Amino acid sequence: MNSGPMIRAEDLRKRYGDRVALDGVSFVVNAGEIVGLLGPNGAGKTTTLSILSGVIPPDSGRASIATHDLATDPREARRSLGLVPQSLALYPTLTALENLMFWGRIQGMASSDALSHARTLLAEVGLDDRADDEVNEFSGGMMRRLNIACGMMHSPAAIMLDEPTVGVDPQSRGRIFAVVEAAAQAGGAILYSTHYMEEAERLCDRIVLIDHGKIVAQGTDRELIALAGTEPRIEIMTKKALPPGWSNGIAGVGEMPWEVVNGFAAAATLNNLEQVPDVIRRAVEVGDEVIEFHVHRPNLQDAFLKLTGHALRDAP
Amino acid sequence: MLRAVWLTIGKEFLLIRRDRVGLFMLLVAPIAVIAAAGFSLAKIYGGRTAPRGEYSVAVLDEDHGRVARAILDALDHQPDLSVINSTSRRDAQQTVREKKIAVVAIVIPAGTTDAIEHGRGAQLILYTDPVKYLQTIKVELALSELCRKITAGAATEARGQIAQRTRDFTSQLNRARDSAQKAREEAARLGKQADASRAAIEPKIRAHIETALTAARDHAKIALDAEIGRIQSKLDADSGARQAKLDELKDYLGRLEIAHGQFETWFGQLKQLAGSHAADIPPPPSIPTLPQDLNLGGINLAPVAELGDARSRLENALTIPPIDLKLPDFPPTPKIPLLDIPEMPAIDPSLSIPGSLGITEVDLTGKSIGQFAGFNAFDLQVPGFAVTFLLIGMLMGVSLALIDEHDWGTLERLRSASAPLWATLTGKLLARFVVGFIQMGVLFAAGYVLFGISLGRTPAALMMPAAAVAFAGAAFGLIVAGVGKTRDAVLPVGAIVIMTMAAIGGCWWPIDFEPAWMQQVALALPTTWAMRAFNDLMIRNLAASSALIPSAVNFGFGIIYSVVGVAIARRRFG
Repeated sequence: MNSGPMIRAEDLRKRYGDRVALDGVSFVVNAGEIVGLLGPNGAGKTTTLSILSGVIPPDSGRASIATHDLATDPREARRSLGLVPQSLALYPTLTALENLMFWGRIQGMASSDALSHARTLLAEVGLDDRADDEVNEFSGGMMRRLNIACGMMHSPAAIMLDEPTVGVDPQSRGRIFAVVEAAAQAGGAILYSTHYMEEAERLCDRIVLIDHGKIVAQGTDRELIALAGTEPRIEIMTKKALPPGWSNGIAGVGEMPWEVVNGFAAAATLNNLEQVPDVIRRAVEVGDEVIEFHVHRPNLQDAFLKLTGHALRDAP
Repeated sequence: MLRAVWLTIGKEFLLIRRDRVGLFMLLVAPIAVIAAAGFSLAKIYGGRTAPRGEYSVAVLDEDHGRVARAILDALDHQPDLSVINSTSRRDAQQTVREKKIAVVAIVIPAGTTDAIEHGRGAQLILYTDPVKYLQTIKVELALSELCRKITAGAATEARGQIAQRTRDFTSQLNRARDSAQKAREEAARLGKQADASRAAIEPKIRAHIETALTAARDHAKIALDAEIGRIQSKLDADSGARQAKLDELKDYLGRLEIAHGQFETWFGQLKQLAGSHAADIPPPPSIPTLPQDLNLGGINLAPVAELGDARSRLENALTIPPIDLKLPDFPPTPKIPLLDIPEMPAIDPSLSIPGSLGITEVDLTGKSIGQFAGFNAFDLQVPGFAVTFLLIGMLMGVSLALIDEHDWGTLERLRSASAPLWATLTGKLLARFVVGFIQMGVLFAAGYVLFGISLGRTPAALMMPAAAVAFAGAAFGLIVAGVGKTRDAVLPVGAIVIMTMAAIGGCWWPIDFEPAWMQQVALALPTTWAMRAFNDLMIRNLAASSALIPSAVNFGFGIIYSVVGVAIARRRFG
């Protein structure tokens, strides 16, 4: 298994008129690695994938797939790449098997190889019993699964998935995750574009945060959270309103400005989660009774918010 | 890259096969539209939509003559017409204008036959329905032709009669001339023969007379001898008998004379005896006395000796003197005068009955196709609507398929794979081209089987313009796909383009219906050239070479459309 970078983006830049779509995007995806490209809608994820898949050229920068430069060796680069576009890039009136066969053969597979691999993939994505049904009879989740299978038909060294779970049911999402993980375990370099933070956290070895065409940060989820400096916090609802300074005396706890709901809520940052019992005890003392509390562990959403100043799903 | 093209073609065929609506539009819809248009418009082009009686014509025969019968007979034999007999002019008018069961009503006025036969003109009366303009024109054409044929027939018959009589007269003159000549020759021959016969017959007559006379004399002598002998014998016998009777008479007379004397004596005695009464006694009958000069004894009844003398005298009389036969001259052979029988003068052409002017339609190969033959409307409609639906298939197929690929995301996926845009476009074009070509073949085959269209002299030649227009149409689809951003945009744009191209290009009606300027504009459209080729091959029945230029023009259009279409598509989808 080649463990080097299978997907390499170097200082990719792209403009559409006055709008900057990409502004110096650089990252790599190694073999066997799942890298999440996380960002809000319009952040530049699809543009990045389009450039990396050779669909559109960058204004500047370089992109290579499995060491094949897309500018100088596009044929081999494309042959090493499997693209799973955000749209369902399927022929709705062809059967699942026909779709897989076509995409496999267009990537250079022999007919017999394509047939056997198609049946294998259909089984992996749970569509083996629907192989001969026309795609337009499939549910959205089934189409998504087939869409991914089509991108993997020729066993590419690099696979790019653009929002592959949009609109799918939990069952299909699980199948998709399994397929992606299996592909990575098989040595594939996976670039997984999503705006679902949970998916990135769940699936990706590394995450590239992108916003407004720029890489905000990249690393493991813990690294990103740490990089953002976010801390756990506790949100508490008490019977009586907690007055300012209610947490005084508990080391490492900082009261946060909190939107008061009926005057009975408060929030505080924690140095660590071991401080939670002390905080609850103090809230009972001051607020007479704790009706409800919620401990929030810091996540990518927080990190993104911290790094960009706006929430992942609220990009302007 | 050829692999990508080939795989794209295969995939397109699969997509087309699964697209039942598309297949319907490709094959079934055109046939339905062709059938509707063909049957609806057949009358315009003179074709037939029914085996018989497409038009009903009411006829009122007031003439009842030969001409009327000829018209009725001709109408009855017109395959397009069925005849309804009217009973009156009012009925004829109602049949057309109120009942609407006849296109026109024809009145053959009384005296039509008489007028025609005597060299006068005659007018048929037509009751027409202005709404049924085209049908009326067709029936009027047929009637005009019918009238012309009847008039021409009459003229031909008259000319024939005149010619026949002229021939008869000339023949009679010639026979008279020949007869006179033969008579003259015969008379001369007879004259010569008479002269020769007269010279030869005179001695023969003389000999014959002499022989006859000699034989007659001998015969007369024998007969005379026999008769004289018989007379002599008779006379001798009669003389003997009379002599015996005479002797008896002589004896009687002698005794009578004695009795007379005795009577006288007796009578005297009687008177005496009567005394005084003697005076009362009547005198006795007078008994004639024998004449004094009666000398019966002197009568000699001896055989007549003179008969012998008579015989010799008669025999002498039978002696024939030599015959001096002088035959009278035969009357001279009558001289037959030379008859001056004139030659039959040539008939002055200017005095002949004028001929009739007719029309014989001849196709471009010189074959007669009959008058007002028209053509099978489907020969126009099948290629016309085949091209129309080909364009629908091509324009919509190529453009919508590209937009679909774009919308589905498959185009992006194809481009990320090893299939460049040009390979996808080429594959789609080729697939649609093949489908269009097959579509044309199927529609033409259906036209041939269902509607009896002509496939021209060389049916295979139809493939040339079919391929050319399929290529041009498919290539034009690229342009439409590039212009229309979405399906909703392509549909009206494509519909307008297709309808315009088909209409102006002569797909729905003969391009000659259009004004000259529009025909010039139409030269810029592939439909015009396609229809020109199809019309040349199918209707005009021209050779396959006639389709070369139109097909080449359409291939040229196809190349131009391809270049422009690929450029637009690259900008649109690239």
